[in-house]
Amino acid sequence: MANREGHLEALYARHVPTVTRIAYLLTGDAQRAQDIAHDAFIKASSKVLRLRRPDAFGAYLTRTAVNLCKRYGERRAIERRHLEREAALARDTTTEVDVESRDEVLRLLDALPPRQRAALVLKFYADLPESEIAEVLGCAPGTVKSLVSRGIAAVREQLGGSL
Amino acid sequence: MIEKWLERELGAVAASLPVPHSNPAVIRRARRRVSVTWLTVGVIVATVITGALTATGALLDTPPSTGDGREPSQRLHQPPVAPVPASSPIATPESDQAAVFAIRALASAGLMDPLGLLYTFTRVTADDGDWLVAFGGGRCGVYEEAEGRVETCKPLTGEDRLGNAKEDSWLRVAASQGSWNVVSVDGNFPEKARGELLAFSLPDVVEDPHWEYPTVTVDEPSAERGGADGEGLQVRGVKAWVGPIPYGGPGTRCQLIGLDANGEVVFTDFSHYEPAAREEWERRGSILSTGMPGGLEIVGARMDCAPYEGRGWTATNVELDARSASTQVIVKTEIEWKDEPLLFAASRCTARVFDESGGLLGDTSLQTGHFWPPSSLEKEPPFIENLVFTVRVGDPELAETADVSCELS
Repeated sequence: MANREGHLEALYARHVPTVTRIAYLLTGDAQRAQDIAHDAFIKASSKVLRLRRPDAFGAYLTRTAVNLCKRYGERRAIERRHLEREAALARDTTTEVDVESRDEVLRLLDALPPRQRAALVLKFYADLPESEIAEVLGCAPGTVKSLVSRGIAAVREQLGGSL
Repeated sequence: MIEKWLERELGAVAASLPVPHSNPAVIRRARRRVSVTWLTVGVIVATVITGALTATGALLDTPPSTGDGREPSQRLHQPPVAPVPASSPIATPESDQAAVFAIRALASAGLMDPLGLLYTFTRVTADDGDWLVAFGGGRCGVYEEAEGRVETCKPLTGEDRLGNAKEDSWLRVAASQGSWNVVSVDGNFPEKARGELLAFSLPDVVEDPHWEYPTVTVDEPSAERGGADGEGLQVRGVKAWVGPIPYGGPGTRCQLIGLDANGEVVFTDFSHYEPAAREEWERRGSILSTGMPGGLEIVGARMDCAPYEGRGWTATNVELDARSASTQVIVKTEIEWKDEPLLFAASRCTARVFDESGGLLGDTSLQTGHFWPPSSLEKEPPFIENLVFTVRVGDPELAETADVSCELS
């Protein structure tokens, strides 16, 4: 039992910080990112004994976290639509993005469709190969190429071609 | 250029979030989850065993004690055990082939329910050149259910002291011209299934003995159905033995596969080992109850099974220490796992001690007590464990040699 407990400690230290930051980039909410990473870790821990390849834990954890982020994003989108209707708020899409600000990078990511955003974060932050991104997103490697390409194009357009 | 910008900016934003490298509260919750998983594994084993006993009425069939301290008479007259195949496939008696074919026909027609309550195999008998395979079927007809009027079968109840169904459904089957066929269908079968049963046919081929799961179902867990933790999916199945009973050879390696709506594999469980059928009642199958993780869009499952061909634990460096207590010797050995990591399988290792002429002085067995090499979770092969046996031999001075063998159990 002691080995298993130590094993969980080691898995946490090795994977949870990275997954928390991925969740942060995907949700833009630091507290939510920690909650998602912890929920994902607890869910994935029930599978740790059943993985054929123990080194697959990281990929499974990332996939679980990305799925939780997706669900969170869907809920948030519903809430946002509701608030926009209530307050008759209109987003100003012509505002120039100041890329020096952390909040603005997050806002820039937030404008992307969830899968494009996840593909960019997993590729350019987590530095995962396309095959692993495909595994996490549950799609073909070719789809990952397409998501990344469209994500880059969308970011470039938001930046007004300054890069 | 924009790629470099993304790497830099995303890295900077992510790094701005302070993240601790440990969280005891989360790890405690995770540990409880792991413990639940282990508990679930135990429940699976218990369910398979008790399911088998309950579904077959084996408890009823236990012969009475002889009253003189000996084993019951059934144990004094064990049927011959089919030997382990050497180089050619084991010959399965035609009666067993008939039973297996009939069970597969029922499964094909969707008549084997995952709880094993319907169409329980009862016996196979030769009849006028064919084989008559009998089942405890159920009361089939049109019932008023919540979803409307449906044609279905309900299990027989109260037919014997354990409430098991007696036989009321028969398939007459025969092998001819290289194939097995259903000759006739009698008894309690839904009308729509009769045609399917009569059309069912399989090639008459020799198969190595193994377990198979003709029926596997996936449900969302619920408290009513005994869901493990309110998450994940509940998997139920009925297994059937293909081959002679009793069989003295190796068992079967099986692996649960989760499928999405397109039939694509989205979850692969670790393999597990199932010992070969040793008792006649095992022909009636037994129930599997296990789980799969949620969130993977799993809508179906199958169990892939094949005769076990691995080597399991292999003993190396057997040491005999005959200087110990007056009537016992110590046998120490390393056992090395010669199979894939994380195969869910208990093992039984036996140490034997011999005298100078090769005569057996004594033996002792140990259950390895774990289901896979625990070390495989944390490192690469070789996976090695140490075992120490205490073997009662009478006179330790006669002990000359020892060996240790292990088999999955």
